[in-house]
Amino acid sequence: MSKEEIIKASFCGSIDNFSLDVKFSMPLEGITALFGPSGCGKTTILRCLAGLHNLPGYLSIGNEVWQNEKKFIKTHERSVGYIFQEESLFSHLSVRKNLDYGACRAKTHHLKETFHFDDVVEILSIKHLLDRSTVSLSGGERQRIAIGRAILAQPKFLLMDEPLSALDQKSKKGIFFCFKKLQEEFKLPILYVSHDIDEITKLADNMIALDNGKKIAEGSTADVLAQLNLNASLDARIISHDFDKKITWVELEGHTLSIPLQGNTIGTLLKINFQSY
Amino acid sequence: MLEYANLWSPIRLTLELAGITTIILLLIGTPIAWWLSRSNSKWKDIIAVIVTLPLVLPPTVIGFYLLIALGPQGPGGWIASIFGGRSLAFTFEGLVIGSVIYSLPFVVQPIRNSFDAIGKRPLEVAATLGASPWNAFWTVAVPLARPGFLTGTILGFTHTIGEFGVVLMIGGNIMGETKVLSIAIYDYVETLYWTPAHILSAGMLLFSFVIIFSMMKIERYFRKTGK
Repeated sequence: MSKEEIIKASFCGSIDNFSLDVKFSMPLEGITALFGPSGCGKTTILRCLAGLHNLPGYLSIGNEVWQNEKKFIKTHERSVGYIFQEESLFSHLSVRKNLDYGACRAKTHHLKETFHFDDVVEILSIKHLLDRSTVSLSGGERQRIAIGRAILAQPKFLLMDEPLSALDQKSKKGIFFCFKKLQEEFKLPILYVSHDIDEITKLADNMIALDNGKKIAEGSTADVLAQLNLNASLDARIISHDFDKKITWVELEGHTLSIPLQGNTIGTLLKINFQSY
Repeated sequence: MLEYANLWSPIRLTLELAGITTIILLLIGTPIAWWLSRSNSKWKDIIAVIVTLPLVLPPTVIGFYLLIALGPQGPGGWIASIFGGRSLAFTFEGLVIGSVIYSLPFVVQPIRNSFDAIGKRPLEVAATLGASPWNAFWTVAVPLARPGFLTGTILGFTHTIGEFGVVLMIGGNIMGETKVLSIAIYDYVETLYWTPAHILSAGMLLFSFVIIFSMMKIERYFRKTGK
């Protein structure tokens, strides 16, 4: 990674009684998660990055400045893809025409087409849907097409606003798989908004944690999770104590586990934290 | 048989008037509908009320004010003087102006409702895909608002055809110039020529039925195919 390949952003201002004051930077590679509870400003930040909100601040992508005191590049002139939380396909266009909508407006004047139609369609496995109308598609299919459409507009990075929140488990798995492949094949940087810690641990290399419009931590996913004490924690019930071996047997999600001897009585619930490294 | 000879003239005149009025209404109604749907201006409600007024005002009231405005002392007279006329009242041009005002809400309202229903999201999506606001308006907003345009066009056209009070006030009854269908029917009934009145009225009835029926069919077709 060269030194310039970094997104630097700072926004300070308020929209509809919500005030945001953040400053962060993220590498222009891999998946970075924007994490925090509902209403903490995650979506507002994405919208600022895409130019859909205009809050006072600064934004540069590599060595291109997109926003400062004097300048504000409009959304349609930014090379950025945006995947919205709910479905956003154009219902008046077929799947293929939806994909073409981004592709034929791609800002390819300064860079060669990086993402080819056939490759994108292949990776997202949407080839069989191309000539369908968007009406009869499942939620997972819609979201995969929306991702394809954004990628074909040849963005420098992708913004994803909880793209999986409206999907069932099976579709989620399918899209997870696509994310991994997109990363391997295209090395397209993604800023991924989520309030689901499981999703983040599985996907993100780096993360930025927010609360109430302010940044509370940033860095590699493992570091931030440890810093916030936000590791996966599960309830375990004490089954028995083995005083000879100095261990306590607990039952956790249907499994039996031995842990160092505890002083609590049998039947007590314990919280067990799992650290990710 | 004199009374049948001139049946065709009011029909042609009415269709011309309705056609021209509808085209003008789409041209000025679309930006008004868009502005009403998207603007946060404090004038928005006032403009929305003004646009809706012709819906509730008695046609004679609209006709009365239009008569004054189009007459020699009003702005209409001034415009007419440029082209060597004295007044826009009792002219076909005057009828077009009157019809545009009279049918404005019938075109603006459905288009505005459609724009409202689309919401901001599709246009934001278009912007993130590189479409300028102008481009996004034509490639996303207008196609998505197609049901509103369809309804607005048909309502504007048929409402203009059915116009009576305003025409009577500002157009009078000049054959080939301002004598439209509804006036012609009134005239025939007044002078007890029942047969031509029957022919024109039945024709209108059939025409209106066909229009509304096909509008429903077309809407259902669009909804089914989702296009």
